[in-house]
Amino acid sequence: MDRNRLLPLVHLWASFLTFLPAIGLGVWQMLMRSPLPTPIDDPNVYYASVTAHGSIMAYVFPTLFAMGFGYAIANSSRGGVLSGRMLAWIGFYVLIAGTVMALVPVALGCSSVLYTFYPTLVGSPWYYLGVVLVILGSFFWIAVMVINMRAWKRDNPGQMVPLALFGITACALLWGWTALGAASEILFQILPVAFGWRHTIDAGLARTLFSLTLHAIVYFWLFPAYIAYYTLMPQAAGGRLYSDTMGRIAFILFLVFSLPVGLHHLFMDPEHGSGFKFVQAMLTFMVVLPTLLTIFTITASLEIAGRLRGGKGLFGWIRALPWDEPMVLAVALSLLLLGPGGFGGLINMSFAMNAMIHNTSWVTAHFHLIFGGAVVIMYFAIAYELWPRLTRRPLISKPIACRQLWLWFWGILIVTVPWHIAGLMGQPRRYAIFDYSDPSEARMAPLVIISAAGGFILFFSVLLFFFVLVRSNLAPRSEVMPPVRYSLAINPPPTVLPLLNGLGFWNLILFALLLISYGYPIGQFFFLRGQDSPGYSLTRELSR
Amino acid sequence: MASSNGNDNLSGLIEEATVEGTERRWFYVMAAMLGVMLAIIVLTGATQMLHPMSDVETIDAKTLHLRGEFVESNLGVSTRPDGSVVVRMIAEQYMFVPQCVVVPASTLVHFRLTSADVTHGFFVEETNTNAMVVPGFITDVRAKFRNTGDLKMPCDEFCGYGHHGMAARVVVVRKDEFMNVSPGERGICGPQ
Amino acid sequence: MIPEDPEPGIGSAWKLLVICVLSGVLVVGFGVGFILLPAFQPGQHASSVHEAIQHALGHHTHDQFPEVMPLPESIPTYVVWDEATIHQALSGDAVRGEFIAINCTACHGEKGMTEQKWIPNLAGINRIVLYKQLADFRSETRLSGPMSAIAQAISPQQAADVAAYFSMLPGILRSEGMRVPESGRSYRTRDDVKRLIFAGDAKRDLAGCATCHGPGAYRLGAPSLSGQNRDYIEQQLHNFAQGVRRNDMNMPMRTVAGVLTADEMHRLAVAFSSSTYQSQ
Repeated sequence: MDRNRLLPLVHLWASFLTFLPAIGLGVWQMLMRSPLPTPIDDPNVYYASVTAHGSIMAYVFPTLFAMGFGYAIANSSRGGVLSGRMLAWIGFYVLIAGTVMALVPVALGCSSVLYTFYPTLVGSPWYYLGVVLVILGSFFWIAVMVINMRAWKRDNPGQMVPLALFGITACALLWGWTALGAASEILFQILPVAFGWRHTIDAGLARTLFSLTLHAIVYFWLFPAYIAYYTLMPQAAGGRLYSDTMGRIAFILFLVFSLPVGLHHLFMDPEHGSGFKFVQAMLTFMVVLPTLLTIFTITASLEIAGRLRGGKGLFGWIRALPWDEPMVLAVALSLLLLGPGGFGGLINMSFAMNAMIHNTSWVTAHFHLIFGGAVVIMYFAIAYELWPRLTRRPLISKPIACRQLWLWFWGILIVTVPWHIAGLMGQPRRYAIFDYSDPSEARMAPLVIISAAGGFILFFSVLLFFFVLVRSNLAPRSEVMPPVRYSLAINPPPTVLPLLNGLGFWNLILFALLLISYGYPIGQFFFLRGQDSPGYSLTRELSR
Repeated sequence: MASSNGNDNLSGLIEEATVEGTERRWFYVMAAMLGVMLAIIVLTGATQMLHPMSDVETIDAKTLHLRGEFVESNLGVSTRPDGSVVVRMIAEQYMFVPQCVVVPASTLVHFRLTSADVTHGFFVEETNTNAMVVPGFITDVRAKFRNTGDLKMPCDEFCGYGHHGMAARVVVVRKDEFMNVSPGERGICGPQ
Repeated sequence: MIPEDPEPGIGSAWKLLVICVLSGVLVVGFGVGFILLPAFQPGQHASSVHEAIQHALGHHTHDQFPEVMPLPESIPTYVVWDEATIHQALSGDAVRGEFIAINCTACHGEKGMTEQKWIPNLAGINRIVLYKQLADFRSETRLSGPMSAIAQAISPQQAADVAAYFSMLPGILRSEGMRVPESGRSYRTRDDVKRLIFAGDAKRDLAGCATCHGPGAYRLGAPSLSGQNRDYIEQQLHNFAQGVRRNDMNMPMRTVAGVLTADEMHRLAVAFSSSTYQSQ
């Protein structure tokens, strides 16, 4: 196989192969929390499972996916040329090594610190080192993306960088900035204590550094889905993208505003004053903007496609859309999930309403709805688009693919809607077991059972997904598949608009915003006194 | 270059000016909507109880038992001269100390907590009292309970293997009943 | 990454616009967050812009809690888990410790395991735990027969040595490591002692004993109990409940023991001391 296609394919396979066991763990976790009988009914196992599930779903699966998607975009945008393949493979192996290194201690039960690993809780140093390696491996990807975008511009002077390449490079840079928070926390604060060289940690500084990563990472997860909205869907629907400029603006807004907002995860924390909490809350409103703009542009693009297919009247174009195309179906289902998910997000970012649901099941339900729902369904659809082009074998069955997407959609709703309600009723999050003999817990039992049932639906949907991909991979090679094509806009930009064609200026703006919004909140810890506290290990008293 | 077939005769289907016009209008509507939401936040923030805690107070988590505000004999409920009530608790793996406190309704109650070990959190059910408790820092949140009752206060941040078993209780009584609690008892229900 | 700018003027104009808009947004944000909102905080007499900013940054602008810091009525323990103490507790010499431990065998048994059920086994006990208990005996924040005199006769370093020695002996389940996952350790189990040990009791806001004492989870300073002597465990639970023993830093044991019934204390002691729940 052409090595430039092997690279993204391997990444995408790896990402979904980590996804599958993580989903399995998730199903078990839903059972454990419910009143239903569960195998290996041991709370310690639950916390190890949540650590593994969260670490894979947050750090490994979406990163590998974005990397694969990025290499596919770069390769196809450059007409079959991909620079830096050696770097890319090094990055892949480093990332896989890191994944194994991180998950082994978790599986052994000696690092059940959860993927947010809030100190002063400390786990096995190999877990943290593994996470660092995963980040390091992905940084090779960032370099390759930048190299290839530059090369494209060099090879095509006077033209705008294709929207997909522009988007995925912005995504890579966003990830680079995002990872700095968690990486600094791990390298400078946690690892010295985990290895036993130091014994105390400033928990406030650690939470603040992590907050840098915690919000921006969700936009990193979201980015590939949005790239697909703009560049894969309009063509799959048989139309054009309503506005290329809007796509670029949306990507730039994500790049610039995803980071200086993390403090809204620390609204309820004692280590920051209200001033910066408010400033970052306000900046959070800015990062809602690209999603709102995208909804309009994408709906308009769908409408174009629908009307071109003969749809008439105010809503007739909806029925006329090619619903048998997995990409089109996925976008529609994704937007349907993005609505309530986004609404939940607006509640979380408003301090007064956040106080009602902070650290309750509402939060867990929210990000499962928006990430597990709106975003992952797009990952499936992107996979359905890319696999045939990368393997030169068509999908065995688009109807089965569509059915798999519908299953996922309903599964997500069945899992997350009762979960949201349980959160509103005051169910705390990250609990392994609940005492359902207590009447106040018993009233939540039906909700948790419904969510658990939804988990099984999701698992079955993933099995169906693998069925489609594996069978397609094994099918005989067909006639030459057309290469990956990205949607054109109705009015492709006639000249180069430099600010929408490059990322240097925007990185500078981002850096300035980071300094302004996080400078004092992080800097203050170096002047506060007395807050360093001992690290606590769950399974081994400090024995070094 | 790999992009969709430019020969589909769709270029220029809609004039760029129209596209730009609709996008710009949508942008203004969205920006206005966000502006209204922000204004609501600001306005509600100017009202009592609806603002994030602000004072950054550090404390040495290692010496809570030796000196300072959270020594054993100072935990529990006390009354300030202005009539408001202060509840002091330590959050540790896997309990709050004291586990049960009595507070008066319709009175300003300060919850002051700190952690003896790892990050915990707490919320008082059926209220908006919800905060993180981070070792090295003191958490101070205000509450005013309208109704009497026996409220559960679970830990809401993962703090270790016993996280699901960590909770306290806040017993809200009528203001006149609270006055009968003698100062020496420190408002602790259950064993001291 | 620097974009090629075919028409330099236009590019710069847009950049300037972006910077201006952003600056405006930030000025409004900082203005509202640091000046406007703090002025409305209840109880904050923010009489000046400077005070408002100070409050928004998190600094006390005026003393909110002017109460005089109370003196503690009693000190539970003088041990503080700072770097120095932890380091000393963990760096004992087991060879020296064995020599000192000859004096312990009369009560605590030849190899740290004793038949006298009201005296604790020391074999396998965690170094931090033993170091702290000796320190508390030394400072008389814990009292038990001759232990204070004994502890006062050895220095803290010697205590660390003894602790290192006993921690290496086989006996009590070690305070380390993960436990092999096993079913029946949640609220679902019908064995109520097992439930109390591994899941706790939500009605009394009790976490399971195993979450601090193991198997499989250990809180700093909490000894492993599997294999400890039955009567000793029961006696200590009673002592904590009655406040006779008070050296648990920040009161975890007094809180827990206070809500256990006498029958439960007995059954927990039996369960931990026997091999029933000793699986890792």
